[in-house]
Amino acid sequence: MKPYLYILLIIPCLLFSQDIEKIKVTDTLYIYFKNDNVNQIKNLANSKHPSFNYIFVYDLKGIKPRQSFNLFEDYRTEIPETKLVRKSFLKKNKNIIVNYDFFSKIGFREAEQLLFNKKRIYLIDNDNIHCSKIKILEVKIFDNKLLVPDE
Amino acid sequence: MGSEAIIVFLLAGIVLVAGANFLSNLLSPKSDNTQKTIDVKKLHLLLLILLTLTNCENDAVLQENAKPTQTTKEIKNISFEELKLKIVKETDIINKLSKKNNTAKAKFDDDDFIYELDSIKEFTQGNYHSYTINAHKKVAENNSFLYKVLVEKRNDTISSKIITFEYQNKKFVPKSVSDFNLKKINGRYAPVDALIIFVEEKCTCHDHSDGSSCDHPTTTKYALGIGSTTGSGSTSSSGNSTTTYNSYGGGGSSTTVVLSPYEEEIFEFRNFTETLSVENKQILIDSKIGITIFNLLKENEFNPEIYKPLVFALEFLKKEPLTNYVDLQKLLNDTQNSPFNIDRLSIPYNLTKPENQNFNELYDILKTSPTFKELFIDLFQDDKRFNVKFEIADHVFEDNDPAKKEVHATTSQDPVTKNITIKISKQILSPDGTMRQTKIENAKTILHECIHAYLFTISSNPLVGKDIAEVINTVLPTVAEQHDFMYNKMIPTMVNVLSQIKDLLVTPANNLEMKDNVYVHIPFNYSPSTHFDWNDYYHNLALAGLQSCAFFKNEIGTFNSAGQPLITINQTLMQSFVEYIRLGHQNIHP
Repeated sequence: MKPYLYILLIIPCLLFSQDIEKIKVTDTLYIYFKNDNVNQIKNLANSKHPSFNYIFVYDLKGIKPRQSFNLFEDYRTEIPETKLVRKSFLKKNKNIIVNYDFFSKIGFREAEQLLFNKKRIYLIDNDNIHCSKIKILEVKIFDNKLLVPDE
Repeated sequence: MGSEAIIVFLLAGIVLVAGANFLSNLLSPKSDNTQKTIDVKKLHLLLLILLTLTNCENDAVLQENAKPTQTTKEIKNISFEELKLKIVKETDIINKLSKKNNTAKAKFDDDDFIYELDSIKEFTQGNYHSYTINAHKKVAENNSFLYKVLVEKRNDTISSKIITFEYQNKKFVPKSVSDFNLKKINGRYAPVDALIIFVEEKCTCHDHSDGSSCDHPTTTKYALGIGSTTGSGSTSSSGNSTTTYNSYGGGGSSTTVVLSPYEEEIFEFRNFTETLSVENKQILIDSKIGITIFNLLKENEFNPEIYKPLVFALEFLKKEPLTNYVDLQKLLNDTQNSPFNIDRLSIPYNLTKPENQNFNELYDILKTSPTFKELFIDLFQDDKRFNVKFEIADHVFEDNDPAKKEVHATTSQDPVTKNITIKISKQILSPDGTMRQTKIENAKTILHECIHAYLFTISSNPLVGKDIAEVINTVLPTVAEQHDFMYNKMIPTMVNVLSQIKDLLVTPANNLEMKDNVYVHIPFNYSPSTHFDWNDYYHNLALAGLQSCAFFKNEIGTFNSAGQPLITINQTLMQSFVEYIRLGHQNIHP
C-alpha cells in the first residue's frame, strides 16, 4: 500500500480515537498537509532553499476575512531539520499526527495556542510522500502578533 | 614709555645735537667740504638714537624687545620649612601662612585663604628671590579669580603681597596686588614697580614626573605697572600688556611671580570639580578616571556644555562601576557625543547585556540617516530646551501601566517638565526575548518612538521644527492623533530613513536573497508569486504599529489583538501588509 493511502486511511480513524489531551502535552507534533488552494495553501516563499509557507485557513461559514495560521521553514539562524522516514514511523507516532480536520475540530484559537506551545513541529507535506520514504520538515508557526505591534 | 618722557628725550636730543653742532663749528677748521658736513650730521643722528636708547634702558618699566640680561634666573620647588629658614625673621608672614595665632599683634584666624605650602616656587635672579605660594579662598566666592601669595627677598629686605588674577579669554590677567602682611586683606595695594609673570615652559625633553621643575624655562610673559607706584590704592589696569610675550628682559628689581604652564587648565578643571557633589567628587577619585575626564574637558576647551554629560557619566559609575577600560571610554565618548538632551546613559555599552548592545548598535545606525538626523537629532541634540531619555525595561506596558497589555515600546511626556521618555522593551531586543524582532524591525520600532517624541515636541512648540512642519503643511496632532498623523504624513519620512539604513542592517547576501529569491502573493494567498520589493517592504513596515489608527482601519482593515484580520477594506493593501511583514520577518536575518 502506498504511504499516502496509508495516511489517508489512518488519519480519519485516528481523529476520533486520538487523545486530545495527549496531543496537548506532547513536546512534538506532526502535521499532515495537502495543498487544496482553499483551506490549505502552499506558497513558495524563498526559492534559494527552497522553502514554503503552509497556510491553514479556517472556513467560518463564508465569513470573511478568514482566520489562518502560517507554518514556515525557518532558515534565518540555522538550517531546519528534515528527515526521511518510513511508513512505520507514521504508525509509531499516529497519536501525535494531526491534520486540517483536527484543527477545524478544536477551533482556530485553540489550534494556534497548541502550536505555540510545541517545542518542535514537523510537517508532512503530501508532495513529499514518495514510494518508500516520507520527507518530514521542521516548521515554525508565524506569530501574527507581529502584524500588530503595540508601539 | 610715557609721552612726557618722549618729549624730554626729543628736547634733550635736539639740545645736544645743537650743542654738538655749535661746538663742531667752533672747534673744527672751516671747510667747504660738504661731504664732511654730511658725515657730522650722520654722527649727530646716531647720537640722538643712542641717547634715546640709553633713556629707554634706564626706564624702570620693561619694554618689549628689551635686550636680554646676562643675570641667570632659576626656579625650583622648595618646602615650607626651607622657606621659613630663608625668611626666619618674618614671623608674621610665617605664622599667617601656617595659620598660627601665637603672636599678640596679629591674629589670623579670620584669614579667608587656604595656602598650598607643599608647592612653593622659588624664583632667583641675582640678589632677588621670590616665593610663589598658591592661595585659595576658603569659600569660593567667584570662580574667575586666582590668588598667589608672593614673598620677596631683595638683598635682605623681605616683603609680601597677594596677587589677584582674573580669568579673561582663557588667560589669567593680573587684577590687583595687595599687601599680604596685614591682618585682613582689604584692598589696600602695595607699590609695585612692575609685575613679571614668569610662566614655566612645558618641558618636553625631560621627565618631570618626580615633581622637579624644568631647568631651562625660557618663556616669560609680563605685565607692567600692576598696582600703583604712588600707592594711591587704586588698581591700574594693565591687561593689555599681559598679552605681550617676550624673552625675559631683566629688571631684577621687579616683582616676579611664577605661574605653572598648566595654571589655566588646572583652574578650569577645578571649576568643573567645584560643580560636583561631594559624592561625585569621591567617585572621580575612586574610579581613577580623573585624567580621562581632564583630557575630555581639555579636548573640548573646557566648555561648560560638557559638564553635564560628564556628571551623568559619574552618576552612572556610581550605580555600575566599570572596570573595562573600553566600556569606560565608550561611556565617556557617548556622554560627550550625546548631549544631555538625548540621554542614553541608562543604556550603556555592555557586552553582558545584549539588549543594550543591540539598542546602541541600532541607534548608532539610525544616526547615520540624514533624514533621521533632520527629524530627531537636530531637534533634540541642538536645542537645550528639549530633552528625551531612552530606557530599556524588562517589560513595557501600555500607558506604562502594568495592569494593561504588554507592548514593544512607549513614548511619554512629563506634563510638567515636558521631558520625553522612550521606553523600549527588552523582549524585542534580547535574543531570548518573548517578542524578539529582526534588526530592521527593531530599528523601525525605535524610529516610530522617536517620531512620537518629535510630535510631542513640535505639537507643544509649533515654531520648532518649522521646516518639516511646513513641508507637511498641516495642523499638528494631539497625543491621541499621533498615529493618524504618522499614517498620513510621516510614512514617506520613515520609508526614507529605513531605505537609508537598510544596508547597515541587512547583509549583502541577505539583501540579494530578498530581491532574487523571496516571493510575495498579492492580493490573495493563492495569487501568483511576485518578487519581494524593498520599497514596498519599507512602506508596510512603517505601517506596522499604526493598525489601531482610524485611517488604517478605514483604508486597509481591522485586526484583532492576535493579529487576525477582522475586516478587510482593501484586500490588496491588507494582503500586501500581511505578506511583507510576514516574509520580511521570516527571511531577513535577525
